[in-house]
Amino acid sequence: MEIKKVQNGNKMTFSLDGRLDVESSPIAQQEIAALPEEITELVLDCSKMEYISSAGLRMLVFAHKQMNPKEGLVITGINENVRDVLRMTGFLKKLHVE
Amino acid sequence: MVNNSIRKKLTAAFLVCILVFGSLAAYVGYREKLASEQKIYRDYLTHCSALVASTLNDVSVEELLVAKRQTLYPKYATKLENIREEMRLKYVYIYIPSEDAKSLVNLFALGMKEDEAWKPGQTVAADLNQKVLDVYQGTKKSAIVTTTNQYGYVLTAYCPVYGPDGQIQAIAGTDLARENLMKRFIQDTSGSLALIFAGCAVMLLVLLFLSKRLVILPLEKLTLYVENFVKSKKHGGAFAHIKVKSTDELGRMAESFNTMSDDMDRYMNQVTEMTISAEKTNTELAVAQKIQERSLPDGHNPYPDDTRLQLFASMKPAKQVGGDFYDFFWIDDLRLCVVIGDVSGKGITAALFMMRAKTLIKECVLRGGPLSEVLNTANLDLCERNEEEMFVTLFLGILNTESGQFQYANAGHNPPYKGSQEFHSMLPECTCPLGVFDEEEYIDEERLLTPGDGIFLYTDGVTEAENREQELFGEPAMLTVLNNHSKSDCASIEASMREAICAFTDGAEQSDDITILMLRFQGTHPLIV
Repeated sequence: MEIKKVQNGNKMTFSLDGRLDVESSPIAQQEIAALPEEITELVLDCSKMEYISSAGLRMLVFAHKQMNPKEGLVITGINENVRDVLRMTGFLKKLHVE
Repeated sequence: MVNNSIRKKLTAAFLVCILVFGSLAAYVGYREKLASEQKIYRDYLTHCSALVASTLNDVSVEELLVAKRQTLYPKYATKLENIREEMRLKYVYIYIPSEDAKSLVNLFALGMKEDEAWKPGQTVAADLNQKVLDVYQGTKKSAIVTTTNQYGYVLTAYCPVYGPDGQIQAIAGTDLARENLMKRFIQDTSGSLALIFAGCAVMLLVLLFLSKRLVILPLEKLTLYVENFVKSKKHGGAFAHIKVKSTDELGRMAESFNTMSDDMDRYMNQVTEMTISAEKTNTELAVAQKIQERSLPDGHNPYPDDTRLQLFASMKPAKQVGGDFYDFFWIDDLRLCVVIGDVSGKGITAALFMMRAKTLIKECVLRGGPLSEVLNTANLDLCERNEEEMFVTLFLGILNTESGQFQYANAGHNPPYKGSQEFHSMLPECTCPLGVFDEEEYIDEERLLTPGDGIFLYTDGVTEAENREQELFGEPAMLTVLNNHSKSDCASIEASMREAICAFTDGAEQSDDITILMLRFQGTHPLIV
C-alpha cells in the first residue's frame, strides 16, 4: 500500500494505492491521526485501491470520526468491489462517498 | 605458536630488507670510493711521472749515456732514486721506445732487483702500449696504463721527457704496485663497511623494538581482548572496554571494537526484548484464541435428534486471531436464535469485544422484543467507551421451528444465502455494524421458510479467503459449492465448503477466521434427504 499526500490549503488528499487490509490500515490510520490541526477536509482518493478488508473499514470509521467535527471526510474513486463492501456494511450512506 | 607468527614474519622481513639495503649501500660506497681513490692515485702517479721527467730537462740523454756516463749519470740516478723513495714508487724508469713499439732503449730503471735490473743503454724487448708511443710522439701529455706482468699488478704513469732543446727525448714511467693500492683501499674501506653493517644491525634492533612496541604488543592485547570478548559472550559475562591510548590505526581499531561490542550488546538486548515481546504477543494471541473458541457453543450437529431442523456451525481461527463468532440458543421450545458476527481487529481486544457483543446480544434477545430493538440496544452499549473504534458486523435471526417464520436483522454483515435447490442472497436493508454510529436505526426483516429451505451464514473469511496470488475465493465460488451440495445435510455442506476453500487457497496462510453456520428448516414432517 502506498499513500501519496497532497496538501492544498486546509484540504489534504491521500491517494491510496494498493490493498487497504490488516497490514496497511494501521499505517494509514497513523497518517490520519498525525494530520496537522489546520487540515479541515480530508479526501481519500481510492481510485487505485483494489481491496478493502474489515481493518480498512475500521480505518475509514476512524477517519470519519476524526474529521467529522470539521468539514469532514470525502471518499472518491472507489471501485465496484469496494462500493459493494461499503454498501453491505451500511457505510455507503453514512460516509461522504463521491 | 600462532601468536608469535606476526613477530617472526616481521623480523624476517626486516632482516631481508636490511641485508639488501646494507649490501647495496656497501657496494655503491665501494664503487664510489674506488673510483675516487683511483682518480687520486692516477693524478698522484701522473704528477710523480712529470716530476721524474722534469729531472732530465736540463740534460741530453744521449750525453748521459755516452759522454757523461761515468760523471753525471750516477748523480741523476741518485736523484731519481731519491724521488722514487720519497714518492713511494715501486719502479721509476726512463727509456726511449722504438718506433715499432717492440723494444726500448733503457736509460734509467730504478726499483728493480739487482740481478734483473736493466743496464743503461740496454735495448730490451718489450710490448709497449700504444699510449706510450702517443706520449713519446707528443700527441698525448700523459698516459696511465694498467698492466699485469711478471712484476705483478702495476699502475704506470707516463710523461714525456723534454730535453734542453725542448724536444721529447725519452719517456718517464712511474709504477705503483696495485696490490698495495688494494690493500690500502681495503684497509681504508673496511672500517666504513663495518660501520654500514653495524648501522644496519642497530637499525634492525630499532625496527624490531618499534614494531614490538607499536604493532605487536597492541595487536596481542587486542587479540586477547577479542578472545575475552568471545568468551564473555559465550558465557554471558560482562566485557570490559579496551583502554585506548593511541590514536593510530590500532587505536582506532580498538575504539571501533569497543563501539562494536557496545552495539552488539545493545542488539543482543534488543533481540532478547523482542523475543520476550514476541512471546508475550504469542501468549496474548493464544489467550485470545482460547477466549474465542471456548465462548462458542459446540456447533457440530448439536441437535441430532431434533426432527424440525438441522444445524452445523464451525469457526476456524486464523493464525492472527480475528474476532469471528457464531452463536445459537433456544429462546423457548419453538424458537431458535442464530447469530454470526465478525469483530474488526485482531488479538485480545477483538476477542474481548467479541465476548462483550455476544453476551450482550444473547441477553437482549432473551429479554424479548423485536430484533431491531435488540440491535439498537446492543449498538448503543457497544458505542459507549469504544475508544478503540472497534465494531462488529452481525447477523441475527430467529427461526420458528413450527411455522418456518424466519425473523432477522442485519448490522452490516455479509447477507446470508437462502435456498433449498438454488441459493439466493438474502439482500437485506443495509445498516452499519454495531459500535460505530450510536444513532443507527436497525431494521426488522422476515422470510417464511418452507421445509427443506436452508440458510447459509458466513463471515468474510469465506469469500475473502486468499490464495498465494492474493486472489479472493469470492461469492460466486461459494454459491457454486452451495448449489452443488444443496441436497446434502448441513455437516456435508460445511465440509464441502471448507474443502473448496482449502483447494482454492492451496496452502497459502489463512489470513482471517473462517466461520460458517448452516441451518436448515425441516418442518414438523422432516424430508428424507
